[in-house]
Amino acid sequence: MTGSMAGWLVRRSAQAALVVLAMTVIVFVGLHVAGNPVDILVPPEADAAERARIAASFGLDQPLWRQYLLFVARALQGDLGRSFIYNQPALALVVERLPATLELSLAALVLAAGLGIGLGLYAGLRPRAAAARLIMAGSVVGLSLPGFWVGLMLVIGFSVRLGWLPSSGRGETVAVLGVGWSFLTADGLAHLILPAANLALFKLALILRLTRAGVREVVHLDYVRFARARGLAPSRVVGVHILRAILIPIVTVIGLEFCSTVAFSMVTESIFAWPGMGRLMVESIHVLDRPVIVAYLVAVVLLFVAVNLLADILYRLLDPRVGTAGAGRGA
Amino acid sequence: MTATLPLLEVRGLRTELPARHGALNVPLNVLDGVSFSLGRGRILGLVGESGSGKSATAFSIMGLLDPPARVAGGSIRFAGRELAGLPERELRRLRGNRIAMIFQDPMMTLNPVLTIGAQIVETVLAHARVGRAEARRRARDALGRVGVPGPEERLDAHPHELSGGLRQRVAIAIALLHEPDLIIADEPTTALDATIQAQILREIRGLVEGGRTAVLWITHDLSVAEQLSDEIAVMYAGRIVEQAPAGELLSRPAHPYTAGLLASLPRGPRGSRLTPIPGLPPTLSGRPAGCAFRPRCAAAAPACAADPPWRGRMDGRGGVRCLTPGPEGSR
Ligand SMILES: Nc1ncnc2c1ncn2[C@@H]1O[C@H](COP(=O)(O)OP(=O)(O)OP(=O)(O)O)[C@@H](O)[C@H]1O
Ligand SMILES: [Mg+2]
Repeated sequence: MTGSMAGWLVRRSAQAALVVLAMTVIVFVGLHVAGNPVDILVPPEADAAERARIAASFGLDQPLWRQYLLFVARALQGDLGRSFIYNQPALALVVERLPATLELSLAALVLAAGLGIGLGLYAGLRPRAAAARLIMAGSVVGLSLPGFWVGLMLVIGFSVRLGWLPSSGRGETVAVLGVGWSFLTADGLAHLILPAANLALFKLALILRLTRAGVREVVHLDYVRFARARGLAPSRVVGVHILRAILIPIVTVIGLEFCSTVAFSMVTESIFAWPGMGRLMVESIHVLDRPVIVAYLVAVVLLFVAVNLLADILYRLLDPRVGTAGAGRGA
Repeated sequence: MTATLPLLEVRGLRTELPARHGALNVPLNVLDGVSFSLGRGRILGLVGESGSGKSATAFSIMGLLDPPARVAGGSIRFAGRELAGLPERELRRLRGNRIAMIFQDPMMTLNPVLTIGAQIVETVLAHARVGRAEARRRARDALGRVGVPGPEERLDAHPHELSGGLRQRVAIAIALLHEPDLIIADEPTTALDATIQAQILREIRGLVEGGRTAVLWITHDLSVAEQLSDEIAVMYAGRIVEQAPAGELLSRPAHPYTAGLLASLPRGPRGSRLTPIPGLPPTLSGRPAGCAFRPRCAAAAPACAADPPWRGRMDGRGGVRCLTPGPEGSR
């Protein structure tokens, strides 16, 4: 198992490196086509000499292929360049915003997984109950409403009309391990609720339906019946025998959803003015701040790789047959 | 000889599938008045074709019917207690403790993602107030008792690492953990090869010889039932049509269905003709009124359209439900 795990790790790292390489080429070419950052950086009243000086200071006077090679050479030494706008190391800028995005994504996932698995178990075990039917109908709504619209409705409903919850920023944070966290203060938690609920809704519906479908399938299996025939408590039959059997697809979806939450947090972060990576990315695209865009994408790819690795380890812990069947199932 | 109360006494057990909003809007009787009794130290073989209601009988006793199927009438007295309508909590105390069950497919009855040890230990802990170490010791002893080689190491194995025969031994070890009064075995040896089957049958006999335990052995194999059982009950379309001591039932069947089953078995001198029963057993929704075997019966008379009464044997060890029983019907 350890051997195949190490091999898997090497393969996965090689894949990640290829993805990063391809992605950087696309960003360089794409931004080159989109416009010249010098136009944005240079004050309108500047003359040609000033323009050339600024372009040269960022290396933007070089041909694109040379800019790219220079970037790769520096990147290999861990330097992803300096932001054109903030004049700070781009990677540091992104990493500084990372905790906010991670906090929001994790809060959304915990909410979605907790409620989704709980309600899904209920709906699966009591499929004919009125509450179960209501839950399932609700999940269809949750899947079909567009996220940004739900976000706006949450803001209008809970902040503007009712005034119960704040809708902008992270609120008060507490520094732990050198970074600020919102969820540790009452004010920060209040700020976290609406954006997290917004992000969680779709995932909640997805996990709920997946859990219910799994339960419906598994309750009729002999080993679940045998578990009941052995006189085990319902909590153990459900919490151990049923849940373990359906957890692999749920873990897969949670992993994928975590990645997509981080990647698409821009929308929610923009609506709720959440100072995370997504908002930084949106701002950077507006001003063609290439180093920050690249650093952001590198961070996201690395995050995806880490999440996949974690999911693969979980598969092996959840089902002892996975490790023996050869390569993992992670995508 | 029936001075003491039987351990298990089933009277007029009716198990139904309630009406659905579908094609058929009448409840279907899966079991239609099943009656039998079973004393300690005895083995009752329950035989019948697929769909006759053998498993439904077992699950009705255990209170483990898959909803919407439910016990709709009759009584199930176990050690003087009525099980029909007993609350789930009370039933759970009996399951795996006083009444243990062994299922058909050992591949399917053990949870593939938990170790053998974990599954035995949880069954110990479900009914005994002991610590983990003691539970594990009991688990190891239980495996040793049913002849699993290297029980200590097997505890940490997962089911897929064991052969089918070993897995069924594990299931039997689990059934014997709390020295149950009643063991219900639903075709436990069907999936095993002949040698292992013979071994297991010997062990079950040995167990019952202690005089405390009773066994309800479900099979569709009359010859297995003959080897093992004291008495055999034959099921057809949700009813017991004949019950008698094993030897007598096979040598002098009273019900035409029993006779038909025997004639379709490869017994007697080599080369003697096998004659299958003409026609097919009725489906759940297509059971005729009166004697359900009537359409396939050579001796059917117009009077068979009414429910034939149960005629008990003089010695109290069974009876037959037929208006025109075979040559031995008058005993
Ligand atoms: N919960 C249920 N839902 C639907 N049908 C059921 C249910 N329980 C039992 N039945 C039906 O009741 C009938 C009796 O089934 P049962 O499983 O008891 O037969 P069996 O004698 O054990 O057959 P086999 O030899 O195939 O195991 C079948 O027609 C089955 O489809
Ligand atoms: Mg069956």
